[in-house]
Amino acid sequence: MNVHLRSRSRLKTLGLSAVCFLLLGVAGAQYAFSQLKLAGSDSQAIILGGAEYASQSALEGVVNITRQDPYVRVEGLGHELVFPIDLDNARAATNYNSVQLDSSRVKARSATLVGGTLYLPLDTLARGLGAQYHTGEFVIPPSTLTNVSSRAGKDTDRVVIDLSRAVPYTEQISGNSLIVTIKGVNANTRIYATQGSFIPKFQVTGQNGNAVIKLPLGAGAGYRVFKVIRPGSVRLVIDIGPGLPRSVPVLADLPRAPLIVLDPMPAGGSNDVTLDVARSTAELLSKAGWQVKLTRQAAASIPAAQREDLARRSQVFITLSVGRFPGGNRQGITLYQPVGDASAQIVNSYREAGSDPLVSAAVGSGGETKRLSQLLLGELGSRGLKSATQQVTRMYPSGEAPHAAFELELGWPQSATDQAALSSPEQTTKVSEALALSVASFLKARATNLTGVE
Amino acid sequence: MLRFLRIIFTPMNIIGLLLLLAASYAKQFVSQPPPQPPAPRLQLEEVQPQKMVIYFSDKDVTSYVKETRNVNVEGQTPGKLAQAATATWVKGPQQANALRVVPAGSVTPQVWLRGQHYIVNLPGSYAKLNYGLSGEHMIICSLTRTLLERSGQDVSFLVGGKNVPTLLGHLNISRAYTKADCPD
Repeated sequence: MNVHLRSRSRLKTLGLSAVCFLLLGVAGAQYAFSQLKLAGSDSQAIILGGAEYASQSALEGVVNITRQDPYVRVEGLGHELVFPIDLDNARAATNYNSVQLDSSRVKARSATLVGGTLYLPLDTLARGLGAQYHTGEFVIPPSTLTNVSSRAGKDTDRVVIDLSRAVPYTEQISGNSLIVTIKGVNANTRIYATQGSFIPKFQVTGQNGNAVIKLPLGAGAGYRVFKVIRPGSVRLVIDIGPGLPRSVPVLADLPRAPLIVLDPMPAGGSNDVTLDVARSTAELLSKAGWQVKLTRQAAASIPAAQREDLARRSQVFITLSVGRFPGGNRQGITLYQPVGDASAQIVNSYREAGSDPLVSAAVGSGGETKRLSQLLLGELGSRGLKSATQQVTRMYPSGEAPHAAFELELGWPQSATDQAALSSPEQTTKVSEALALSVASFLKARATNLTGVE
Repeated sequence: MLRFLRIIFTPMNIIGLLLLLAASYAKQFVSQPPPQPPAPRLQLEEVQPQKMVIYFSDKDVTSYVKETRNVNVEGQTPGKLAQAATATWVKGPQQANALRVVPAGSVTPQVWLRGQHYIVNLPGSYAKLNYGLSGEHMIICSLTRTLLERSGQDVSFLVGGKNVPTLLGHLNISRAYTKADCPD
């Protein structure tokens, strides 16, 4: 009987102990939910040890979180933070943990797991990211341009843009300019003068909520753009000068050194009028400093591959020919403009790609041929030479040329009037001058448009 | 001797001999070449006049002159109609306001039709024609329009049986031509 009572009492003690342990466990893991305004949107936080914690999923719209147990890496607003993941909730909410905030290591609350979900302390996050935080609200301050300064150097000049916090930026070469766009920063339009010889002045403008900084990039000058993260602010540093390697795309320099290709087709007969005009035009252009190539120098026929290759490398490609057709009753100069898709698919793809300055430098639009044609027709007209235009699909090798390209038919030798004109040196000079002047005017205007430099 | 014959001509030996002879005959029978079938009788297709629209050049070599011609064609297949139309195109126009596109006596290009696609093999002599851009355009486009007048989707050109980028140096013929490439 005594034995039976003793075992019952033991069972009671065991039951009570289990309930006590269970209650203690529940008390230890207890947390409360709270409403949180996170970067302007409603969210939910939990309170652990008197501090607010937000879950990984709630924070992911604001920062990038990468879990690398037993640490978690948080990147955003130009900062990089590393939190240890402390599995003890109570200990994580104390200041006994070492947390890495950019380059400094501080004692602060750390990350923890609640029910398998990662939670991060909002006060430590705000401290590391430069955000404003008070209980129930986590605010990301707008980035503002706080200061612009410059420094002249021996072989580089420096422009420093101070921002209240880090924001993304892009850099782009457009002709002779370096354009740095700082996203999400308002700026007043202003031109800054410096004492440097490589960046004598630069412009800051506000465009669609972004700050755009346009700096001159002289020939032979290189550049670098980098940011320096400091406590409470970020500096964007731009160095320009010959002391830096020039890593500018070749395409950006192309408009200033264009290749003009003249393509004289065999004219037949004793008078090679197309070659005469091509040589005369090339001479005029070369004297003016332009780079000119002819697809043939003698009466020999032109290899197709060579013509195509030169067409692909050209900024201006002009085929010179004479018209012939048995029984044809036609005379005069005709300018044939290519229409429709180019035969080179890569040219079509670039034309569809948009109007980025580098794309335009690589492949021009059909408008280039139109502009050069109009200039040439004007020059021919001013010399008393009447000319007609005709649009033709699938022209060769103009369809391979990425920029202005057309064929100029100098006349029809089977017409007595044209035969006389084609044999006349005066006519050759007039056509050559018209060609050279129109090409030079066109390329000069094109270089100005693409590089922004006269 | 009788004993010897009795030993040789046993029933089994006679049956074996008969089987051997039967097998030999069977082998000879199956080894015979099949009988030559009779040659098919030559049946000429009926030659009938067909109305065809042939494209030539105008005097300025800028636009087409269309001629509707009655062409005698043997058979009705699209391939034969296309070849006949090409031969008529080579022969030249009958109207005074139209110009022949290739010189008189030129070789007629060969034409094949595969599905909706014509393939034209221009003779090598065509690549030696001393034409300007208008002339080359007229050769390619008048023939394209002539062939696509009845049916077909596009026309591919070979020169002397080869794929070449251009015929006379002014037009790209590396891809097939459609009606859209040769507008009026």
